[in-house]
Amino acid sequence: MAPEAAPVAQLPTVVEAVNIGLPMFEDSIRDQGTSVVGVDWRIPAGGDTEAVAALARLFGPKAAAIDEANTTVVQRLNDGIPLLQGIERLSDVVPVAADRTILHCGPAIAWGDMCDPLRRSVQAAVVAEGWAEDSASASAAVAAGDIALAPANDHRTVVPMASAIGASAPMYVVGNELGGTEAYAPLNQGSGQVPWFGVDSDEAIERLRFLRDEVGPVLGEAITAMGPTDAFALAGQGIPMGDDVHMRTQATTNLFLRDLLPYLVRSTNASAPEVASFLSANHLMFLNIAMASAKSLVLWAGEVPNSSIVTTMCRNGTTYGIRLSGDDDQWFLAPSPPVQDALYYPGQGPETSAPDIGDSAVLELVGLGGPAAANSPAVAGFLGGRMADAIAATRNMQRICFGESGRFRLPILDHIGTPVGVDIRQVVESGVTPAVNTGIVHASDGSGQVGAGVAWAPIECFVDAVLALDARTP
Amino acid sequence: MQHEIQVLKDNYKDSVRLLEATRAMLAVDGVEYAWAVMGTPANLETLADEGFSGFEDVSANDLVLAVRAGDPGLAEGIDVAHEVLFSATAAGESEAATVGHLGAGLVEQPGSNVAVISVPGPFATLETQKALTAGLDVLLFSDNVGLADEIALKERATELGRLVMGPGAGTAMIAGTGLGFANRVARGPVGVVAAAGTGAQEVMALLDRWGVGLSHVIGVGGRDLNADVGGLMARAGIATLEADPGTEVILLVSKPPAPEVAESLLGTAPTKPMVAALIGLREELDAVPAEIAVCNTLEQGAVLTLGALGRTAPDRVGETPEAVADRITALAPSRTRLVGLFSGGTLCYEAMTIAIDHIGAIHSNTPLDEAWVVPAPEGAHVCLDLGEEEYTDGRPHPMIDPEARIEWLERQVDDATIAVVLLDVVLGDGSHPNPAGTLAPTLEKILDSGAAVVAYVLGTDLDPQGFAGQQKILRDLGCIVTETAARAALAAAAIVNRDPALVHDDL
Repeated sequence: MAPEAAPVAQLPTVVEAVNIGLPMFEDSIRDQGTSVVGVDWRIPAGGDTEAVAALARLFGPKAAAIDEANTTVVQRLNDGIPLLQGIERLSDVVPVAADRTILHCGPAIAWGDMCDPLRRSVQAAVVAEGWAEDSASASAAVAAGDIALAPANDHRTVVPMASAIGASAPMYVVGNELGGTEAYAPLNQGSGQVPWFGVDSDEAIERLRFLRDEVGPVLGEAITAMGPTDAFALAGQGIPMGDDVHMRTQATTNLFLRDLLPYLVRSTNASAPEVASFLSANHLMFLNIAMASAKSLVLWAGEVPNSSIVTTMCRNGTTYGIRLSGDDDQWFLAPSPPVQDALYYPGQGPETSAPDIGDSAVLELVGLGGPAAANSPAVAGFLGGRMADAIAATRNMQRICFGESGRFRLPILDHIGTPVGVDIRQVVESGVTPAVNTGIVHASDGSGQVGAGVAWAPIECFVDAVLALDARTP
Repeated sequence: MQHEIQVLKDNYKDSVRLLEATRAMLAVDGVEYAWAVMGTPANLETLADEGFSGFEDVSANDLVLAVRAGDPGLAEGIDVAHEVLFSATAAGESEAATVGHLGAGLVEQPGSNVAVISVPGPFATLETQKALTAGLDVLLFSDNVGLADEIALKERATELGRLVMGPGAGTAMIAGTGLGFANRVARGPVGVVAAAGTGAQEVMALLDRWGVGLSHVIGVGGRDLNADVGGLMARAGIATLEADPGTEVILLVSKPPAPEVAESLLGTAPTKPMVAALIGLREELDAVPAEIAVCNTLEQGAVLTLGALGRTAPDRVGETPEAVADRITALAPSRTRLVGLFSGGTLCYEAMTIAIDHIGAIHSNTPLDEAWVVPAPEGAHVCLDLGEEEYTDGRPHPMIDPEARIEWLERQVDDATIAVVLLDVVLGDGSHPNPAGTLAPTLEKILDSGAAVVAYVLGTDLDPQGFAGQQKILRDLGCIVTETAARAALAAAAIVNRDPALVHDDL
């Protein structure tokens, strides 16, 4: 650039200063009667010089392009309308599933590296599909390569906790017409002996069959009769009613079932009463609809190049993986962390707990879960009891998010939007990683849920993503 | 000797506070090594080299107190660090409304337009880039910013039409607000571009005391006019002042620039009258147009600036020759040496460039000739810039904390070869609240021992310390107090040469 072309700096007529560093300079500016804000500065990126240098470029000369991309990403996350359309068999929407392929939570992983609860869930799905007689032969078939494994996230699908799903699994279908994307999530399995908590008992396998043969048809018929439903309009109503729409989905579930009730009672299916009993006993029912909805939005947002916003975040109990918008092929991985600040069932503890697992962290990418914690007394009770603890969880997400939600608003914080768009630059700079409120499953004995806690994403995968983004951004 | 570390999780303290704590720890009897430091990877490596261990879980924003001491000193070393870091200054921190990061600051104060950045050097580039992205001008006080980073920052600022004042820029004044170490001055028609911190302060103070106000003072950092940086910000600063309706005369203050930089900066006639005070310049510059008045001292810079405004500078000599003459008569013949102990780097540099013409070689930690190093040979003249790292030695800068300079002054008390001790006392924001009063007891001892003391007070009537009061403290002790920094150097040379007339030098 020729010096002649450079614009001439115009100095302000009235200084309004920001002081970053020694407080004595802030004091002397204030003492002169000039407006000043002091930054309570902290060492960025843990003092890692390589990451600090990359951040200087990503927040510096590369910021304009990245911020523009991020603005588009947040717009898509805010503007997309996820319409729940109905329920389909997995193999009808993800054809590869018909080819003896099980979709599982988290990043790709070999059978031998899978944690115990996820293996049990895979075994349950294989048996439910009729591809094996029992868990032992299911295990052998997968180990032998007769049955393939694939990350759900690679097939427009998200599954909660230690879920694994086969060809016949009934799937919510959510379409985001504006973005032309469609995403799927299985029906919630409820509580007790269930594969999504790493249980492969006969009762657990029977639950999969019940969902497929009874719940799926009844619920699907009612949803179709009701017509397309904006799932996030419901979530937006659920938040002022105390949901974070991840850990607690009770209000939104009730709103959904209220809307569905007229169509459900018209069912002529003989299983309808039993299905209704199951649905009314499952306060997490809406969780999976919310996940499919979130996925339909991050799929659209994920098409934007040059962004520093995370559009995939998931765990398989062994590895934690994120992907950035604009580069669907590159996963950034780190070991899946233990769930912390946990509350355990009697007799359980860290030593019996599997690491963080599941795809539900997709909710934290669109302004639900942690970002919406502030207004949820239920989440507050879990985080330490005070609403201040829940507000702090939202503030943490605010520190690392690029924008805020237009539709999810927090009455307790004067109706500000929930933070949206996890920006890896801000994560690495601050060292604050997304926190996901999540269940904990038993590490080895297949007994299911043992507690719940907070899982902080490991910083390493975000640092790797920052270095990669710096390397590929012109 | 035992090694002890204490780690205080997530407890960031700024460098000044850490230096204070380190100094307090080192002052404890029995302590051989002490460091209060943030747990960055680089710092932990240094501690490991010193034989410390046990910081596997330490992260960058953890405070680490490390002491190597005999039995009595160990626990006390840690205790005094706590005293300094957590008790002594807690009150001072409470008044400020603070935010966690720059982005939050911009939400809090949407009209923000200037950032003052003084974080440790390795992290300063990141903060500066963020500030530029946010559309702010930056005073970058931090040192230890790499040359490549400095060039990248200044090139980006130039493209954006912003200013990056620094790195290593101690002083600026924008639209009446002093930033960093700055003297309080009246608003007026003179705009300054300065690549020398205390040089900028000297011309600000002289102009204000002589009745002329300032529009802006744009610091650019000491390396800006080197060949590598090429005067990027000096050029941008001059262009800014040329376009600024409140500026009538531009004053450039710097050490002599690299020849190609001088040519590009001073080769064409500016649209406004301009004075270039190129401290210590010895050769004539080629091809400088008549619109630019060139001189080689800060005093002359201020004098010529007044001239450009059609005004005459007041007398700078005053009673000094008489005071020098008086002092000379009382001086033992064996007293032949000049010892200059400076807090301001530019003032040290200028004093040497002026005095060598009269008294010959001066040894220094920042020598004018590479042969004139310290430690100096017996009988040699010495001027030290005590603000350099080798002398601060884990203590705050002598302008903030006179302690290091007091130690050096104490060493001069019994030296019967010293004719004159020369020093600067810098006032203004950032400086110690009462430097003259703090130095006074030691200066009195030096005067009692038979040496002369020449002091210059750099300040204005508006400065918080009070210019007249600081001068009076020194005069009452028996110090010779001059009107400008240059006259102090001349007065000191005059005492060494026993020639009071030197004070009248034309400069």
